[in-house]
Amino acid sequence: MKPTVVKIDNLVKRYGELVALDHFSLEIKEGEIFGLLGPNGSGKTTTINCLLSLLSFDKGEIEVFGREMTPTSYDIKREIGVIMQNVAVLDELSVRENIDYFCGLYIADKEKRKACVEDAIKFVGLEDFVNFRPKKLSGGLLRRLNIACGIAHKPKLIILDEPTVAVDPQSRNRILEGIQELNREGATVIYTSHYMEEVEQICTRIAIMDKGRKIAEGTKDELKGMIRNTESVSIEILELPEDVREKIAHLPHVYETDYDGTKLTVRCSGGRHNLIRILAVLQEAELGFGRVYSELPTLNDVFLEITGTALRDSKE
Amino acid sequence: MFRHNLAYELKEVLRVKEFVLWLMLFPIILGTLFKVAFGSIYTKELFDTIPVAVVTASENAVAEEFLKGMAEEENPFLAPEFTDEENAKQLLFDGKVEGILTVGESMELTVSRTGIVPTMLQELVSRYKLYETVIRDTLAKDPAALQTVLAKLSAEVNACRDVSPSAENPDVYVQYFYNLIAMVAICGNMTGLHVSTNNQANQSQLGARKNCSATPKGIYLTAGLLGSCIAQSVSMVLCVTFLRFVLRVNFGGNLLLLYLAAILSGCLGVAFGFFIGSIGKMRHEGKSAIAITISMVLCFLSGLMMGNIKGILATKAPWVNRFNPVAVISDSFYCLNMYSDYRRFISKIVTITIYIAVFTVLGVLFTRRKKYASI
Amino acid sequence: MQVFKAFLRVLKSKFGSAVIYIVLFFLVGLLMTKNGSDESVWEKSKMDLVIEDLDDTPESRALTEYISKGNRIVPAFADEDDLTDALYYTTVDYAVTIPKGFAERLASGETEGIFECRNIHVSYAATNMQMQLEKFVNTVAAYQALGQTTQEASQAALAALSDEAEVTLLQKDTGEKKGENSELLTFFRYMPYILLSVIMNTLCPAMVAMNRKDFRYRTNCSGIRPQSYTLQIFGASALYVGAIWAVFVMAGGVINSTMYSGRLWLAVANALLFALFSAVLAIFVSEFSPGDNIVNILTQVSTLGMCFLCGVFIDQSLLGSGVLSAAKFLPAYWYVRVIRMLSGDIPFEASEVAVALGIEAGFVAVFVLLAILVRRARYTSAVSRRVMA
Repeated sequence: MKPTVVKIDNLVKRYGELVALDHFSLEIKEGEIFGLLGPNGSGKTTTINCLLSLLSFDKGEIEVFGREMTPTSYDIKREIGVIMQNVAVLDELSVRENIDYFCGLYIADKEKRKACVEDAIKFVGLEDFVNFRPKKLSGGLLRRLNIACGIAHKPKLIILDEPTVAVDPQSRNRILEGIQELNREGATVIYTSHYMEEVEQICTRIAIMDKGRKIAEGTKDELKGMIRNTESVSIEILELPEDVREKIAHLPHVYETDYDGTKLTVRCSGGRHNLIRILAVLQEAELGFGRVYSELPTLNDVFLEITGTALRDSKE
Repeated sequence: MFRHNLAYELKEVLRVKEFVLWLMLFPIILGTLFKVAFGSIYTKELFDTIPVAVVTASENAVAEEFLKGMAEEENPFLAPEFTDEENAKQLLFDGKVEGILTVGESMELTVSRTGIVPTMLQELVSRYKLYETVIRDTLAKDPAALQTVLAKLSAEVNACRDVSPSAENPDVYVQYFYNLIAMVAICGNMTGLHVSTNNQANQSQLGARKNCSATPKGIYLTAGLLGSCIAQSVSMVLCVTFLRFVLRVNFGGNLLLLYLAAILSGCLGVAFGFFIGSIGKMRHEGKSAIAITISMVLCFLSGLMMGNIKGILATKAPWVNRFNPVAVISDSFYCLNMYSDYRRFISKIVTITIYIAVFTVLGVLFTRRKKYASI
Repeated sequence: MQVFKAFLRVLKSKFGSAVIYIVLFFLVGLLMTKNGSDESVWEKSKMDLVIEDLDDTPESRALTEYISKGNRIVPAFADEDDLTDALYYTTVDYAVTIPKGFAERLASGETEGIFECRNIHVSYAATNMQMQLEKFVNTVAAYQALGQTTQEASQAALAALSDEAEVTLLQKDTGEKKGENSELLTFFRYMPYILLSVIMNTLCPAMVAMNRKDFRYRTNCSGIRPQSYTLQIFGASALYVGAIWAVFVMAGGVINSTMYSGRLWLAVANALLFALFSAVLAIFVSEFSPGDNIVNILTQVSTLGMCFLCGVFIDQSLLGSGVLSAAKFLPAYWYVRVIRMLSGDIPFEASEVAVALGIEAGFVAVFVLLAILVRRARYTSAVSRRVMA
């Protein structure tokens, strides 16, 4: 059993009437890339800010590395790297100076710091821009600088709060790969996002949040296993008599059918040969059909099924 | 840790173009303009021989003798120009003379405006009339004494023993330069405001990032304030040096103490900005507008725009000058010039120091919070 | 009209700070204009004196009575330094102490240094006061020579000295009675400062917001023609500035407590031209997209500099001829010139007024052109200086 890095217990945070976090609990083990997934306003950033002791909270306990987290827990903070949602760098300092400055808030030793700064620059690929001022960097480069400032001191726990918002695909891939690389080097990562593809792609464990509550937690597969849906079959079909549809609906494992006049969607729960069985029914009725898709469930399906609303439009 | 923060604070502040370019350029431009505009005004307000036109209606030896006496002193009171009536009027309207003295049976005065100089001319004519009165009284009582009486009347006396306070430079227009320095000092609020914005998690992302770091808040806050004070001090020293040595403004008083007062004033400006920045949740831009507006009002009350306002306030509402930090700053320079003992200067410096302490302490009290209710 | 409306909306958000300036200026205007007085009849200039009579004899009282007459007596200060300050700021022109033993010394014919006098500036007022004190001593001595006791002599002197000469006030017919409407005209004289301050401090940030790159690009991409855009911006600015001007004109009416009439409308037109100049200057400055702090510093430099050089705060008659010839290149000089003609400080000539107003209008035109030029140069070439990733 790997040691626990972060433990959040029954956290409650209110903003006046609004309950931002409602008895929220979480446990993150060493070596994980932990994804906090949820729509905008679900409490992800509030959780992070409480975890960092920036926000006061009404109830609950937070432990990091097995010790209670307080604003003065500098020995704990030394091991944490934070990458905020918005870019937080000093406009008057160059790329290298910015990284050095923030690194210096953690590492006093000059020699050691110098090596860390160079590593960080290489890591985010800003070698060609070390003497640029942030204002001269494009959005993606600026994000990378933002990340470099957060991880230069080689923290054991890295918290990334939506680091890929408004980032070009090239920079985004680079960032995601970087996170995995940091993780391979031994860092535990907390990653918040409302892009489920990203979370699916890199996270080893995921918690889904909605309205300040944790509605599901587990690995990607565990989460998908929590819902009935294991496969959705869509078939383009222009004519579908009601009796045929009835037949399909009564096939084993099928729990829902949906027909809009051009496309039939069949949702199945479990079973191995759903597609073949459905196609066999159609063939038997001598109905012609067009394209056929079979999809595995996404985190969106998980969210949809648990909350009844879509996570968010997954396309940007 | 502290040195690292201080070094970067300085690097940052000195790279803000607004700061370097403007805070340093500003006193240079305005100082030069002031120098050009006020360079020689003060001497115009000092007493100088009054030009008058004298029109002789009929011969009057006594009157002419009297006027000659007024014009022939070492520092003559009058500069008479004997002319005819038409020309005299022209001279009066052109502002070449202050009044027309018409000498006939008696002496008559014509002026074109009210004010102190025409009033002095009136006193002059009254004095001539006094001669007439005294002569009449003497002739009535003791005509033989006329010579002695007249001698007594026109005798040169030095009745006034001058116990005036000694000012090194009595030029009131120097106070515009005092106020200029004070304004540069209070403009230090720009850097002070940045310190509180950049270090509070609920004011900026930068503040949030610093708050999560392994460096205690006290360290980067102190480094920020110290760095701002150092940068502000540099601009204060430059400002005073430029005014004193390039424009050659005579500030009077001990120059080292002037520099000391200027540097402390700069720190007051920084502390003021820090204080404004630490209260409330308003965004930086809003606070900046508030700080600027307050500063300008304080500068106005201290006489930056109208020099006599401080004098008016001193009689009508003396507490305003006592509490207005900008007035206290400009008064500290004034006291150095005006008083040879340092009693008042020290009290002004103490006030400045108290202001720095109060603003800083309050600012720290407001920002020391480590957790925020909302960000 | 979209730009016009949007701009007015942005301006509305800046109006709060404008109100602070306006209210403040109005209060100060009330304070300052109290100094205005009727100058069409002769009146002696009053001095502010501190008299301390330590002798308290009939002689000293006679002297006190003599010098108090026609002057304002300021109560003695408890703190010597307060007196020094008052002398420096000329809230007191002269301070005289009549020491103990004054009457005895006067009786013995001693005149040297029998008063203790304090002044900082060797001003006309101080010189006048000194002469009056010595005149009193001379007169007493004269009556003493007539065989009177000191006490009698001082009474006789007081009587003889109370005879004041008549003064004829002769003013060239300028069409305006001098001193008439002086309160209102004082208010108008200080107006350039506040117009520039308010308009620069509010219009600039609003303009800068409109000139922001993303906003500008978006506007450039839209169907609106650049000429129309510029026109709408100028239109909205004119409306805003017109409103501020109207507020001041009305405030002036309140101060004067009557309607404007006759030549005073020239002052109103004069103020409008200067308000327009302030607006185009603000637009010109904002084409360089300065930050709020820079706007503030620029405002201070331009307002204070112009106002001091052009005789807004300090009368033009006091400024050196070199300063004034330089000031001719600034609109505030011409503004103040019109006000001086209206208040009778210098002769009123209709043609001169027209020239001054024309020059102000010229400044407005020049800055409009400059603003458009800068806009063309800076904004139409949309070269991004960012490094692309």
